[in-house]
Amino acid sequence: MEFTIKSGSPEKQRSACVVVGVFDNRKPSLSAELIDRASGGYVSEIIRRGDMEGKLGSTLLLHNVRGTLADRVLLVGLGKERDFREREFRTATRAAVRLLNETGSYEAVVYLTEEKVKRREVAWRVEHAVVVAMEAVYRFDEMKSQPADVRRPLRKLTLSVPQRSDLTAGEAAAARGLAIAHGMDLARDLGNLPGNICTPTYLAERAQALAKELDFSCQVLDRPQLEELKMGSFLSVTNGSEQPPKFIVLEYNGAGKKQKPLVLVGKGITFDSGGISIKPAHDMDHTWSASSPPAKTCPTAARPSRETSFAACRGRRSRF
Amino acid sequence: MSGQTVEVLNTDAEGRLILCDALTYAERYEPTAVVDIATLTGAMVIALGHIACGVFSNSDSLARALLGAGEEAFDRAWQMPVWEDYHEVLNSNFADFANIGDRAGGSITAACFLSKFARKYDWAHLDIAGIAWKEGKEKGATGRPVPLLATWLLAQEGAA
Repeated sequence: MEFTIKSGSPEKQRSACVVVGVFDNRKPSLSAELIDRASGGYVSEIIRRGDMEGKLGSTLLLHNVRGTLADRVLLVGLGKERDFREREFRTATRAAVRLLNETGSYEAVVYLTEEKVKRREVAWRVEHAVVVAMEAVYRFDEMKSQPADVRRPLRKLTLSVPQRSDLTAGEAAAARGLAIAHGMDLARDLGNLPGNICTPTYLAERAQALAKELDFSCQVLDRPQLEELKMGSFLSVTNGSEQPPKFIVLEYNGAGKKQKPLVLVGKGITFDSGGISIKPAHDMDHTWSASSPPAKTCPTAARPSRETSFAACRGRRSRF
Repeated sequence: MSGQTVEVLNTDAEGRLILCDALTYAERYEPTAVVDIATLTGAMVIALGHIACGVFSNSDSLARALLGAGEEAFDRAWQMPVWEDYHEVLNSNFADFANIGDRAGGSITAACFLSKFARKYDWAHLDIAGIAWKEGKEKGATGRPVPLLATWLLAQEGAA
């Protein structure tokens, strides 16, 4: 999905959909008021009828609202104005994006990013809107023989900021949010893959591909090297599997050579048998994280120019 | 790899056996800080549920930085103790220590185990067992704690 930042009046947006908030109880936000004025009181009439109370996460889609240039107007409940904080902002945004993804709109202009969130600046709102939107449209189809099509998926969101002077900060925040979201997507993809495909060898291949793409260095240590390093504990676990162990080291050197690195370590166990202590059956289908967090932060962390080393190890066990 | 010996009392506590050698390996970088991230214990899920992950650290300033990044990213974490008192249950008659204590404070004793391999640098451990997955209708991986880590890394870059 693509994100752009803009500053302007909601009623003047030529878009498939304009998204504005309504507080509980029946209190339009400033952007909803602007739409209301342009439409000659149409929005407040609907609110008066009781179709949009402003309850957090509720939505109401309106079509062809007169006085506006957009095809649709989406009203989103924000909850009580004095309780509008981080969680509420994210909940309302998530509800809006989920609904947009199911309508015929390919794109929309979102005004929720103009609502004040306690202690948080416009950059925070933009970054989080991007992360939440990406989370909301995430799907994992890789293992479906016939992926179900989203009829008209959301392709572009324009996030509105209150002033033109907010544009630069907004754009930087959107880039940050998108980097974080891409890291999350990768982590989710790896975590959602089954253990017969996402083996240590598979993870090592993905790490190498990622290193190439993002200009990391990647080193994969195999059994003989691990034995030489005397990684007895690591090998005691991986010996339980027919799959060969892989110890993956990803390094990113974005800062000066003199700067000491930060290291992230993950375990990347791709299959958990439960050992001699078998887990309850309920837990067996989501054995502890198949993916490895260090790998997942890589695309994100590739952006900052800091010398960062990722030492990640992977093991795998099969049933005893 | 560290030269310490472990009595494996529970083969299902294998994540920490993987991590400990990687923590020793990390020494060669002479790092500013090491953060390990693992869906380590069921006890973590019992302690903090599916909202916050647990932060265990031998450095209060590192713990504070991670907690702050979690707040900022709304990918929240909560600090747990790794006091010396908790280490006792890992005592072993056969090896330097065991890989598991009893059920009480299971996520803490797991962190205590790891801390024995992280003595040479500032270290933090995130037990993400409760937050990495969703169950029910939206079952699947959440992508957490990528936002926390990315926010922390960006802040480190800013501070450098």
